[in-house]
Amino acid sequence: MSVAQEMILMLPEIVLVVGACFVLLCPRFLAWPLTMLVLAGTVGAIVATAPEDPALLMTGMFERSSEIDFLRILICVLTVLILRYARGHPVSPDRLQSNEFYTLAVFGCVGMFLISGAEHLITLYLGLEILALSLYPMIAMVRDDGRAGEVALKYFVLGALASGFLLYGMSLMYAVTGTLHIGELASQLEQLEMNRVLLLGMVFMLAGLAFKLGATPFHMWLPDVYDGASLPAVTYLSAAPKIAGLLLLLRLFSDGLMALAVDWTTLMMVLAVLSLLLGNLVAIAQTRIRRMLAYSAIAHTGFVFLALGAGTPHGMSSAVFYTFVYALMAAGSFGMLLLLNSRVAAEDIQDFKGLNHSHPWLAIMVLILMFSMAGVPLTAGFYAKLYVLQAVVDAGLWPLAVVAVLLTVVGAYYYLRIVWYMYFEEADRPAEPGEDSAHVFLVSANALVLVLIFAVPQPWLEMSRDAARVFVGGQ
Amino acid sequence: MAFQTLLFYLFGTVLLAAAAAAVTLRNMVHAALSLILSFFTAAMLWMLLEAEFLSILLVLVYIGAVLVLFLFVVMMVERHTPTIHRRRNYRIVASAVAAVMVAELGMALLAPDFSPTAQPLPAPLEYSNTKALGSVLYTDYALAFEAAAVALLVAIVGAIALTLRVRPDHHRQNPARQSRVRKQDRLRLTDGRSEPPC
Repeated sequence: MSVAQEMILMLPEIVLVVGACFVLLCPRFLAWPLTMLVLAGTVGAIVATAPEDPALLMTGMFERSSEIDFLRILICVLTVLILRYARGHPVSPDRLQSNEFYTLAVFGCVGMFLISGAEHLITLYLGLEILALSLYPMIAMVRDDGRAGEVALKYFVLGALASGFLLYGMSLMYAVTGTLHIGELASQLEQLEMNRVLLLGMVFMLAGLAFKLGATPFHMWLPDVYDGASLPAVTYLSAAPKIAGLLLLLRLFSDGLMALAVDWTTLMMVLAVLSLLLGNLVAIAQTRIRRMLAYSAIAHTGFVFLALGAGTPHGMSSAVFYTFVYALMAAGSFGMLLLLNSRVAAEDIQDFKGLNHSHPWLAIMVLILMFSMAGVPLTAGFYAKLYVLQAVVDAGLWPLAVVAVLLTVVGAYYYLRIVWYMYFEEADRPAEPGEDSAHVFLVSANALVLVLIFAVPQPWLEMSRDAARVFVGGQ
Repeated sequence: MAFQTLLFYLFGTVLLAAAAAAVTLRNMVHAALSLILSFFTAAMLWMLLEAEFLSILLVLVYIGAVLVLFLFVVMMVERHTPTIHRRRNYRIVASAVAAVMVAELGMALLAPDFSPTAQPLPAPLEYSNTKALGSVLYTDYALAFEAAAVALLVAIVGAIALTLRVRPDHHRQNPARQSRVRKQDRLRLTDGRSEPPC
């Protein structure tokens, strides 16, 4: 393939990097429109340059396959949504340092894009590091708030430790196989006999990723970060990077280490059950909505690990679908939280009391989001959970499916409590959500998409299946 | 070969001791200095593996730049040793986790297929690993090189965003405004009589 052709296929990444530099240097009032332009341009570039067959680019370090393009488009769309939601907040990026915040948000997308196409462990690691490096300062940017700095430091130290774990695992893999190409790694591992060094490398890599994704017992940072960081930063952190995390897991484990599947599926199941247990049980005791959403994020990560732990193509496609739906739900929930918080702080679960009385439309949207999180029918969350459970049962692991269902029922309690507060309790003080009609429209659209996915699940499932197929069994 | 093995074990022992000292010493300056020692011995180990370029790079970049900066920071902040809250149960958990890790690593490294005897063959005399690195860095690994550059840029942007603080009441020099000043903006001619301050 000629250099020009390769550059055309790399166009989305090029647009993002160049765009991010322009956002950094442009006058302050242009930062917001330019960011939107860059992200829209990236989506355009993805659509315009989609190749028919998967293409290996940049001497085999990067793979461009149109099957996972919908996840990359979703990353851009979620970033646009989140940045728009964040605009009305008292510590919105516009009132802080808009250029820097938006630049870091776009660079975060660069990292996620690199992860999405990484065919080489170095590309994968650098993508992860670009993403993480843009998240740390976004969290710490509200400097008048001592807590934000504290949690950013905590996240930074634990993130560095997780990177160390991941790198150590990768270096052990390299020591045994002598290659860093994920495709070559997969074929080498199939010929090699199982040995303890490979196992150790795999465990280190999984531990590093579990740290990054916040699966129990590596979840300690997650509730603190969700609670202590500014709301715009948490919103960014909660949605799009989850997709990148899933792609990391798929690339490394389902693609590179498929030969070791017997071992890592067991470990993933352990992580999944622990996360479901801790996430769902501890969330019940929370009174602050952000901490509740943090523990719910841990539980949802557990579901993704459960799907991948099935170790089958069905499990992988259900993991893609689950993450797709979860990212939309998380963006919608935090978008709603940002709307309710745009004038007065309303971060207690009690603050949802009587919302139906004062703002019936918003109450319906919260209802849809919470039902979807809980997995109640008529919302996409139901299908997402259903397909994961199907995959787990198909893999012959029905006791785990039973455990997951029981814990989901436990988890439904704290989502439905919010619904109960909205509809059946009197408000202690009137809710004062923002009046920004575009924000209301976007949050509503975000929530209604979840109903739409329930009504017409087939195309989304097809896309998830195609995306998962990219990763099965290496090149 | 025997001499090299001897050197390997010498440097290995010093490296481990220095690394252990770096995390256990209470005095931060001493800890930073033993970190320098551990990096230096690691560079010597690379030298034994005939990775001369990387070895010198480690000394120049890590010891010469990064750790000297470290030392500056450590010496700038207060000298008093921070009081660390030692909680007994944390210590027990931490030592248990550490023991498990050591056991795991030991089991892996004692595995027959990972013995240190599997050393690479010595390279031919005319082989230069600087050249070898240079020939792949901008070709095979062009994407990784650029991604690393982006990562560094992100780190710079983040660091500046966190430390740069623009205060509206901050009196800074603005050369453009200074040079635009004209006489009539600043100079007011009076007729010499005293007048009330304006």
